[in-house]
Amino acid sequence: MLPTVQQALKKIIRSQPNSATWAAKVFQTASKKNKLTEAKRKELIRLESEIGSKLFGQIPAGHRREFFCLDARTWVWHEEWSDNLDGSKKIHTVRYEVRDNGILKSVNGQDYAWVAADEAENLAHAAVLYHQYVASQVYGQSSNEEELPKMALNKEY
Amino acid sequence: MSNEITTSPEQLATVIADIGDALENLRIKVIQQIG
Repeated sequence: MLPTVQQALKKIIRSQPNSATWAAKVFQTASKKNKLTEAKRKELIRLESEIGSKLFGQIPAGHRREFFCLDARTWVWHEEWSDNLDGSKKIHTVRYEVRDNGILKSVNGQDYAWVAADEAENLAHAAVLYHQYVASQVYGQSSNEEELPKMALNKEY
Repeated sequence: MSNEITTSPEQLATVIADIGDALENLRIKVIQQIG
């Protein structure tokens, strides 16, 4: 908080002791509302991801897959499974960041790199289909398509 | 929004960004409705 704002708040609180209680209540209400909004947003993304995960065909047994639009400029592919040999948990998370001049990709939190043209095209196709099905099935907007198509996003899969 | 996918990185990024914006708008609308 800026020092001048802090000083102004202190002055107000000193001159009107009840204002501190009022301010605390306002901040608490705003904080609760923000948490509630964030919870609703997460629930919507979870519902979207259920559809997103099915855009790439059948999920292998024992795998858990998510594919969703995190925010206007970020898309996430996440897959978890247990290794057949030692049972260890495997995680593959790809984060795509959309920039004006292309798309950046980070795998499992590693450094970002520009995606190749074919992967960018696949992501764009996936985003178009995701919007089409999510708009229809999560948000109730009309769509002519019934079945989810199958496609590959990443050649590694 | 067109379903046609173009090939330059800038155009692909624009397509995906437009979709991201559209999805954000849908979310905001629903959150405001049930708010």
